[in-house]
Parts: sequence; C-alpha cells; structure tokens
Amino acid sequence: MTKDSGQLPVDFLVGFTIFILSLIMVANFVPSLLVGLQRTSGIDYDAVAYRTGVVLVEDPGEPPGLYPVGSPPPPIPPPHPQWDLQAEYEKEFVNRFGLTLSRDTPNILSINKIERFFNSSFLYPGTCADPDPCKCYPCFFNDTDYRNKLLFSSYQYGYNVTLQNISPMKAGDYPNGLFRSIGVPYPAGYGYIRRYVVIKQNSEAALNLSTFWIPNAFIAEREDQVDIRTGGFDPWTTGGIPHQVLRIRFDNGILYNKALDPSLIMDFQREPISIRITNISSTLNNTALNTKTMGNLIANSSDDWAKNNAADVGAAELVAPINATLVGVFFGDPTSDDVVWTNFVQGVNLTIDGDPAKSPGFPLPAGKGVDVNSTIELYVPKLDPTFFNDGRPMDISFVFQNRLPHTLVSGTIWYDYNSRNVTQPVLSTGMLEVAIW
Amino acid sequence: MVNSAGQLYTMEGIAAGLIMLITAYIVLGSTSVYTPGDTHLTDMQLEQVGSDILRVMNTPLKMNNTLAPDYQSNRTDLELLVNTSDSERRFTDTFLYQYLYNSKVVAKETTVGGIGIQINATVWYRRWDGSLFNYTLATSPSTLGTYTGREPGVRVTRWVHTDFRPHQPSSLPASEWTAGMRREPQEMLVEVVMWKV
Repeated sequence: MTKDSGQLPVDFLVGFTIFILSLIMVANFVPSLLVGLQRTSGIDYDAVAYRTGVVLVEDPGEPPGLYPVGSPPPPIPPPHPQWDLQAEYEKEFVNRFGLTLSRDTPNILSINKIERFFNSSFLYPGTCADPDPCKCYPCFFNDTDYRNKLLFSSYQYGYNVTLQNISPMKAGDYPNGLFRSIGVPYPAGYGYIRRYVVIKQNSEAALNLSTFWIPNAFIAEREDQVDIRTGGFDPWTTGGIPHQVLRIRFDNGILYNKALDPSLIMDFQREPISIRITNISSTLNNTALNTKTMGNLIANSSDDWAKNNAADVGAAELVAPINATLVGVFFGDPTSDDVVWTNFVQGVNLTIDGDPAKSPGFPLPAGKGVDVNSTIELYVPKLDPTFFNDGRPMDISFVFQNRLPHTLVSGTIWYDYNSRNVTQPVLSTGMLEVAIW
Repeated sequence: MVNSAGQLYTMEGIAAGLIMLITAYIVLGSTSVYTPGDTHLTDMQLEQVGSDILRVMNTPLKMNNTLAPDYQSNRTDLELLVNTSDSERRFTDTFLYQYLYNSKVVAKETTVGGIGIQINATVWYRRWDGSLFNYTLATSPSTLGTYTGREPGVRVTRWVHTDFRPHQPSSLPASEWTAGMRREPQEMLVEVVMWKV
C-alpha cells in the first residue's frame, strides 16, 4: 500500500459504509418519531369532529334515564332522570350529551334533547360585549358544559354544531323549519363530519269533544272503549252521584308492540304526553230544561243552576251555564283492585282555557274544582316506569263534577297509534354538522 | 488484498451500489406512508355519509295506515322505491339531490359532499333457485362522467325488506324478473358504490 496511490483501506470502507447506513436510517426514522407530535391539522380535527358526531348521533347521553325498550325493567329506577329532563340546578348530573331516543336507535334523534342541547345563546359571541354570551342572554348550557360533556378535551378546540331539517317539520311548531346551532362561525381550516339523522317530534292527543260524542259517537275501533266501571267509580263521588270520568289510556301492549319500528314507538317513559281537550262546553247537557217550567233566574253558576232547575225558573230568562267543573286529574292503573292512584307527577303542566291565570296549579287543590269553559291542556314530561309494571295499562283520568248541567264526558280513549285519536309523532330527516378547529 | 490490479475499486463500486440501492429502498418505503393516511380519512367520511343516508332512507317515517293494528304497513322510503316503476329516478333524486347534493351544504367548503361525488347503486337478491343475482338500481347522471373503476371508491350497504317482488327494474330483463325473482316477502341488499371524481 503506497501512500500516494489514493486507494482507500478496506476497513475504512466498511466502517464508512456502516456509518452512512446508520446515518440514513436515523435520518429516516427521526421524522417518523415526530409525527405524533406534529399538528397536521386535517387528521386531528377530522377525528375529533367524527368522535363528537358519534357521541351526538349514536348515543342517548348520560344519564340515559331508562333502559332500552324490550329489555327487562331495571330493579330500581336510575337515580337521575335522563339528561334532558334535568333542571338547571341539576346540570352537574349531566355527564355526556347525546341526542338519540335510546341506545337502540342510532341516528333517530329526540326533539326534546335537541331543544335542550341547543338551548343556549352560545352562538356568534360577537353580538355580546362580554366574551361569554351567557352574560348577555339566557343560556341553559354554556361553553364550559359543551367542552366538558361533549368534546372531552383539555385542548381548547373551536367548535360549531349545526342541525337543520331536510324534510318538513311539524308545521305549527316549526313553520320555518328547524335550524339550531352552537359555537362560532367556521374559520378557514377545520375538521368536519356530516351526519344524516331522523328527528322525532312529539305526539299530541287533540280531542275535540264536539266531534267526539263520548261515549257513543267517537271512533270505536275497540268495542270496549266505553269503560264499564265509570258508573261505580267510588273514590270520587259526591252526594251519591258518581263523577264523570274521561280516561286517556296508555296500554303497554299496544304502545310497545314489537312489530313496530323503533322510530315509530311512542315511548312515554322518555317522551312527553300532550293532551288537549277542546269544546268541553259541547258536553254540557241542557236537555232536562225542557221539562221544567222556569221561574226567575237566580244566578249563573253550576250550583245555582241546580237551584234554578229545582225552583222551576222561567225558561225565557234562563242562561245556560257555560262551565264544566274539573275536580281532579289522576294517574293510575285501572285494572287492579288495590290500585294506587296518584294526583302528582313531576313536572306536569295543566292549563285551563289557554289562560295561564286560570290554571289552578298541579295537582289540583283538594276539595275544590276548577271551572272549565272550553279547553284543558295537560303536559306530562314523562311517565314513571312503575306505572307500566307487569305490562299493565295506566290511565290519566279527568274527573268532572256530575251535578247539573251534567258534563257528559265519561269514556275511555286510547292514546295509541290510531291517528284519529292521537296526532302521531312527525319524523323528519335532517342533517347534523360538526366542525372542529 | 489491495493492489493496483483494480480489485479494491470493484469493491468500492459494489459498496456504493449497495448503498444507493438501500437508500432508494428506504426512501421509497418511507414516503408512501402518509398519502394513504389522508385519503383514508376522506374515505371514512364518505362512507359514513353514505351509510347514514341509507340508514335514514331505510327508517319508516310514518304509519302509512291510520288503523292502529296494521303495524306491518310501515314501509321505508327504500322499500317503497324498489317497488315503484321509476325506482332509478327516485333513488337518484333521494340519495343525491335530497341528501348528498343538498343545497344547504353544497355551498360550504367540505371534504365530502358536493357535486363531485357520484354513485352506482346495485340491488342483490336471491333467486328462486337460491343463486344470487343483482341489477342496477341507479347510477349518477351520465353528465357527471362514468365510473372507470380506477377511482378510489367506498362501498356502503343496507338490507332492505320488501313485502312483494320488486317492480320490474328497467335494468332487468323481463325474463329474469318473471322467472328468477321470488314472488314473496324477502330481504334484498342495496349496495351503493360512491366515488369522487
């Protein structure tokens, strides 16, 4: 080996080769090691948006309230009602948002959960001088709630959740369709997911008593619609005269029929009940008047009407009473002899004649009826599962005083899937979009 | 050993060649990692959107009969349209124009959706002799281009129940419809291939 030949020694060549190979491998691996730390925005944000969309569209939230339809009832009721029924002071018990009806119904959202979830002014904070728009407008949930119960991240993501309908909503409730949004407008780059959903709205029993001549004339799908026990309805008689009882019946076997698609089931353990009875005055019975020779009219109330009637007051001066008298609203199982009736269910709202001032509160004050001119509206946010134990039906009974002028409203109406009795829930398609940045 | 006959130069050349080959191999192997990751996410979104649309189309939205006991009459959009004579137009109208190309989202800048997405829907059914057969339910309007098979597409499926033999599809010969298809309640698989142009 001569010093001026320029040739490399073999050992140097081997060492240099190994060095170069190692260098290449290290240079190749180092960027891969850093991938996890790199903010490649598209991948990360899309994943968070997807996760958020799944939480909203495929989950009923936590607490979910009850167990899925069809499974055995839980031994004890869950300690807290489903999250959308929590009052504002109970907000801390909401652990996770989720909009589906139940665990069995992905993509089918409850309108009640939607309205509660989007019940916030956290929209376009620019309209409020304070960075927190809840300082300017009423908010049920605020930014912190959405971060803690939906996004689940200590990183301060920007977010926007928007829901809008595609097919028409219930016309009266949503004349311009549904558009709900939380968050702020989209910036330039964001992660995104879009989910198509079905929005289920609430049912309503609208009973117009002038067309429902109870008990004989309404749609008798079932021969036994007239409740034979009405006449012997002991707990609520006065002076030996049985009260008139209008029952709205909820039958487990009908409501939770397995042949029904879950989207069509009216599940009153999770959904509200609306009963709207109109034209009650049409049930007042004045026929007895014709047989009397009437004298002077004393006054115009139902009690005085009886006196007038007995005293044979003059027909020409007679003014027919215009009020029925509602003496109670009761919830219970009609089939059992040891039935436990209750006149109190949490959150019930009773409106008389559409006038908040006339509403007596709920339950009705004991021993005192309330005069009803035309309309009774009852809203029950949900029924306790104990009402449906063992598959028994339950009734909501409206009890009317049966003195003159005889409010003839006895009978039983099924709150079921017959659209002539009950306005069925409207299901609309919609679209939920989640953007994260 | 080393001398002036050129042997060492040959070894240097071999070593250099090896180094170049290994380098090229490692570089090529490493660069192809990232691109599929990105497309995978877009595919996932597209698949989710397609799956959601089929699910919504296969949800009964109302009782079709006012009589309470008649629960079996609750048909979904998907079932109804395989039983109509112009099922191709109806499926395209619903899947594409009502949902995917909905004007409420087309205007937005998104990674999925918009006019660029096309579909090809196929219905699979079991013939009376037990063999599988399929017919084309709908395709995107031809003005948008045709599927060459090379575009990366996603495939979403949904089982749909039908109480009757479907109405004769335009893409199915009358002989197959008459002789092959069962005249009874059955489940059929609706498969939609979606791809982005």
